[in-house]
Amino acid sequence: MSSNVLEQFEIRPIVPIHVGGVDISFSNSALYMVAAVAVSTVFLSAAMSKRALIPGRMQSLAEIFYEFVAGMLKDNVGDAGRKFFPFIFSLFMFVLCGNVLGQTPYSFTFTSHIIVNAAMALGILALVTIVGFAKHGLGFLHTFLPGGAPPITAIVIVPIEVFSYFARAFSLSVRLTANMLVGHIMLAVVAGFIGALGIFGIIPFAGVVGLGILELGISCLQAYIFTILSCIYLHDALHLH
Amino acid sequence: MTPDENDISHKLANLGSRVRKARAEAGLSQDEPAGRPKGVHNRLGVGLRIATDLVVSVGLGGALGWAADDRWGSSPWGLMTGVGLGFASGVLTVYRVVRGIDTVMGPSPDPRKTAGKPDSEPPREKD
Repeated sequence: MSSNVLEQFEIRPIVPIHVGGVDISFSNSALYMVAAVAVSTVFLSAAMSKRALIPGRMQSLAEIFYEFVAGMLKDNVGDAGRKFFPFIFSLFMFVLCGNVLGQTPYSFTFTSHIIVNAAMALGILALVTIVGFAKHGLGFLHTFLPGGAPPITAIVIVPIEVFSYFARAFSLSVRLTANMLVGHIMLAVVAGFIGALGIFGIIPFAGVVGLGILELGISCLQAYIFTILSCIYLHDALHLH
Repeated sequence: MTPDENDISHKLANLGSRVRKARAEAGLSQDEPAGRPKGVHNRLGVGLRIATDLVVSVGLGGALGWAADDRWGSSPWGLMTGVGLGFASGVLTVYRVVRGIDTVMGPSPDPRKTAGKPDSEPPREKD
């Protein structure tokens, strides 16, 4: 039992690699990212290998994921979002697998590190900006000055809109990080009491079981929120308001 | 949209209506199952979303303002502007999310503006 609840978030290099003074070691974080990709790829391709018209258990499960993301994209982006399905689906599976794999004891949760989530969120921001400019040209800049406002108010409105445009990427990553971080710290703190309380350790143990289920729910919910917000940002870029 | 995509959308719409017709004929018309969980998820998503949006906006604004002060020695103006900007953008985001709750999540389009737009989304079908 570790006495330090933050130890679980430590990044340790597994295969040290240094290129030109830059540390690009293969760490436990990278290992779990590879695991998340591997798990989702193996699961989906194994489940769909039969391609049965009447799906079996595994195939139904894979189809649920597919239909869930497809529905989300249709509801939030509309038909124009269909070509972004591969991206959104991969994003959802990656975050979901990362969150859920992180729930297994002694594992590492890469989504609890803000740098990982920030990289994903910045990627989404870049994609959304590129899509917006590609679709609307310079008209995309109207996002920052809604029509109908008197020109003089632009001095106030434009900075606020620009700020909130970039703050979205930040809040997207902070939300996921905070949820995963807090959940894991809470679990570690409560679990720390199990040994210390002797026979009464049964009480925190029950707490850990409950929290574990809650955390599993939060893992899925946060993956969902991360994905749906990406869909909404895409929608905003495709349909100017 | 490219002609190719138009073609695909057209084909899909055609297929959808054919499937619906065939279902109705076979007496298999699927009514909306009561209480789809999606709605609940959406509301929960909104609730969890707006709290962080507001806090993060103010925090980010404050941090940027602080950094600007630190760099250019403009204290306290950077911090004040930053927090103000962050708060305004946080409230704006929350306002938009809440207003859009009945249509789609996110900024709801102005109904006056989108009414005549050819690009506006078609009414959503229930599937």
